[in-house]
Amino acid sequence: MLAQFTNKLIGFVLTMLAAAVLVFVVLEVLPGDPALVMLGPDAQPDTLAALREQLGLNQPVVFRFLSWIAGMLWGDFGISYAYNVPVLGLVADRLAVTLPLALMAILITVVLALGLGVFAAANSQRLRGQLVMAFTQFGIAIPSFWFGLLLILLFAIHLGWFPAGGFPEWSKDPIASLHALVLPACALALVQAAILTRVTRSALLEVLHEDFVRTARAKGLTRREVLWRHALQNALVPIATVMGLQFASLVAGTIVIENVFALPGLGRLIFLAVEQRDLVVVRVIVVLLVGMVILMNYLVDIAYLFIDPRLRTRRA
Amino acid sequence: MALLEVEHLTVSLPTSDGWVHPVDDVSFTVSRGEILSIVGESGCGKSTTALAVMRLLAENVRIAGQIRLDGADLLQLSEAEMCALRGNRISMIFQEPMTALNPVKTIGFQIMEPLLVHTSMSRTEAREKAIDLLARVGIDQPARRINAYPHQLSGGQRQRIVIAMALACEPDLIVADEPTTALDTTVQRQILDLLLRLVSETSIALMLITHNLAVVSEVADRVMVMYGGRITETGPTSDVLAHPIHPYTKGLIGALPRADLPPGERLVPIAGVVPRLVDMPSGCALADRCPAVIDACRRARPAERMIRPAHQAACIRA
Repeated sequence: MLAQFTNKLIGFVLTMLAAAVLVFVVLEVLPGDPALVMLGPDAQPDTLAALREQLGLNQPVVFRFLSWIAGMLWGDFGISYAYNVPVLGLVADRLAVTLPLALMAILITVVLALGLGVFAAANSQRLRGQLVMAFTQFGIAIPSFWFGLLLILLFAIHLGWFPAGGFPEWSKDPIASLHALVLPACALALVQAAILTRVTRSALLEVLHEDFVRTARAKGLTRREVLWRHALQNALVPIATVMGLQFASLVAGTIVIENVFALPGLGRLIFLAVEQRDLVVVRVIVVLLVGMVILMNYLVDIAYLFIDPRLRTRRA
Repeated sequence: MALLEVEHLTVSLPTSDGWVHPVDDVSFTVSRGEILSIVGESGCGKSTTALAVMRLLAENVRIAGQIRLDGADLLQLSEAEMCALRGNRISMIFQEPMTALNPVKTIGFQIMEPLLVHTSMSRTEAREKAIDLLARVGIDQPARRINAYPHQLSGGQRQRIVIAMALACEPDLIVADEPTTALDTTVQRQILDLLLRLVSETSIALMLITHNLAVVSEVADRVMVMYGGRITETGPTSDVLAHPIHPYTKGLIGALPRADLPPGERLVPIAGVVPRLVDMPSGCALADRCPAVIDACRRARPAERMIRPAHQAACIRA
């Protein structure tokens, strides 16, 4: 299994590298002069020249790329043009909001989807199972920003249980920080949970037709025991696959949700950075988001090996 | 009193063309230490009878009649009571060892499971017992193999695992649904020997479902031939195979390849196919395929009659 880990790790590093090349090419090489993009068409020639010098645009492309990569490996992510501070610190602060937000959203998604999916599969012939399916239709149809607004209206304004937006720093009051992430995490999780519930249900229903389910019943297990002990693990491979894919749209969703809830996260930063044409920041965040998605899929690949022994290398 | 007494068992299934009866008024008994073989072509109701005894048929299926285990009617039990019985007093062996085991659980887990569900054994005790069971069903190095996954074993070995699972709680009755059909001939032999040994060592009653008359002749004490969801002939194996009464049994035996068949002699197949459940004839189910059919056959359903001692057949021409 160790060999499989290493292989997948190499795959992960190569994908990261390919992503970095792509981001670099798209942002720096293709559309012409990044300095002009950043300063706008009315820029003075000497300001332009100074920025080109600062960004190192006068050097050959390959050299620029390599020094960018090398810089990132050494922890030097460049200087933000708009804020005039190191990008690393800027991004790290924002990551401290977005990462917990994404993790919380995943947690809510998984708990909801597994619970509801198993319930819907167990009751697929009954009304209550159908109701869950109808509910997921809503979940898929409702845009997350609008659902976020509804949550604010109900839980923040009417009931006052959660803050309507903003984010207290972790170092000041971690509980309050966590508290501030609950509503946005729910808003993000709704669509994902709805999709994953449907995937869980159909994956389980397929597994429930397998012979080993009947074997387990013949051993004296109840339907519920068969579902949780035998069927679920077999259904986890498609569930994990979809989860990995969903993570990308979840990360994309943070850009919208962080704006709705005024959270100082990566999504909000990239939104502002694009607006301010702060390309140095944009490319770092894009690489970071890509990295998160690839890492998630790497973890899903690793998870397969734990879920299904048949995927582990066979010993001769 | 026989261990298992099935009386007037009828299984009804809703279809778009109305109710059909994959098992139609079937009665039989199995005693402790006895091997009863149920034979017939595919679709004649053998497996449905087995699943009805286990009460593992789909929820929309109706079961009528009585299935008594030691006098207690299984059809009157609640699902929870039935769960306590399954894998404990009655267990089942399936046709496809390749798919009957959960691919993501170790075989140890799967053999220990009935023990943990039905007995008060600790995990350690259940593990010891599982190793014993593996040794009993002829798995080499049981202490090491207990951690294997199903895909690491051959088909024959997997069937041994399924048998070990069925034996775990020392049941009174084992229902074996085509246990050797999916296996190589040599492995079939080994699995049959294993089943025979287990039945003779314990006083398990074995309900052995097969379409293979060679298997029947080797292991069964009694044989019950089914056709169209009904019993056509029942009796002691040697008697039924040597002196079949029902044209259907004769047909099955005639279609069997034999070493003593003179060269050039052809096997005699049974003409036609099993009628669909919705087109089941109202008289004798075999009427359309029977070489000895007369008009009376189509009029009323033939009753089972004792033709020779302990040997019954449902044919008006017998």
